Amino acid sequence: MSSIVSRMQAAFAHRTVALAVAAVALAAGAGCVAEYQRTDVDAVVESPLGGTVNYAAVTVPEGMIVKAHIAPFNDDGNPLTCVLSSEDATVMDVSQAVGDKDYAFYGLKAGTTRINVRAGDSVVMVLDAIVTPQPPTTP
Amino acid sequence: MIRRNTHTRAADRRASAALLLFAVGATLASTACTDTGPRPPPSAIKAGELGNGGFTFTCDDSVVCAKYTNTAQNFPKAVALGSTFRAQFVPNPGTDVDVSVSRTQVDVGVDGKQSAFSIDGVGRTWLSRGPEGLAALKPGYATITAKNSLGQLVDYAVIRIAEADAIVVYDGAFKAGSSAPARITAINMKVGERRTFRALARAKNEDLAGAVRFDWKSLDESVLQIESLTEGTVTVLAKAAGKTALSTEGASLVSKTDAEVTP
Repeated sequence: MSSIVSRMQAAFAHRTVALAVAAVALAAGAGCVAEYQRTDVDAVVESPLGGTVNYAAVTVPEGMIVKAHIAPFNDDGNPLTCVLSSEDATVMDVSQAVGDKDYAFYGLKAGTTRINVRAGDSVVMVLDAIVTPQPPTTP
Repeated sequence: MIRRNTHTRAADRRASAALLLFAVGATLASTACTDTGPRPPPSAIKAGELGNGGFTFTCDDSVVCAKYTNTAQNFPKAVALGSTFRAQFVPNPGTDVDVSVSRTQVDVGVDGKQSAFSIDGVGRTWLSRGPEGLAALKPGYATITAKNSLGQLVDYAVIRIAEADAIVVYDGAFKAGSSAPARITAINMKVGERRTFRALARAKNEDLAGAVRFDWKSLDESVLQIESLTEGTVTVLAKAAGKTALSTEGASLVSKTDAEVTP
């Protein structure tokens, strides 16, 4: 009887050790997979009629361009590949500008839409996109 | 010892290859910077907003743009609504923009010449791109863009589109310079004499750049006959003594210039 109990105790101890090892391995494994951490938005160049880009929104006057450097990083501090797309390219379009992670926002028609910033397979940032009408001209 | 010699020779080969690559790269970069031709004067270049270069302006108006060459020595502040013009991008020397452009994939610019940069407007509200270059469609502020062969925005500049409030008829022999052409308010000619005229659009006493298509008519062809119209310049012949007027229509305006032909 005592031998059965001791064998059960030994088996339990083995399972406990195995689970502990697996948990440690999982935790260590999880630590090795760097995950998205942040997106930097800087080097904004406004149009002569204004407009801006920040962490929440991009505003461009109609017919104008605003440029910004948009760079997502993982929690190891390494840059992630980045793709920007507009949900309504007839209102505001976005394309690559010369320079790594430099993007040009084109104000095509007064209105609102959203710009999705995708890093890897995930959308990591959504910017409200606002195209404002041009101010009246004074010829 | 033998291994060390092998290593040294391999290192030498790598160093030679690096030097060769550097030389080729420097040559390519130098070629990319110089094959855009002589750089226009600073006043002719409007700096791009991104600091990668600037834009030059050409049109057939013989006022802002010089006759025959059609180049503007001063980048204009405004173009006339309905006019056409061309722009070219001049990259700043030594910028990455020069060498980042593929040398094997060149775009055809709006002027029909091969260019490393394609010129266009933002959207189709203010500017459209056609065979005569960029056309000014709506009063306001328009953005001119330069993209490289990869479709990346290299730089951009903004120009104002203004609605003309006057047509100015001027002597066809006028040469573009610092002064504006004198407005011809009346035409006096002798029978058998020929003269040439051009017209430009003006807004609030400011000459507007861009080529505007003007239609010319003589109200009495027996007195003043329109002989030819070539690239914006009209040639008229005084046929017989009398009074009439020369009508100039364009930029949504009509101008009439009194004309008198004497024996």
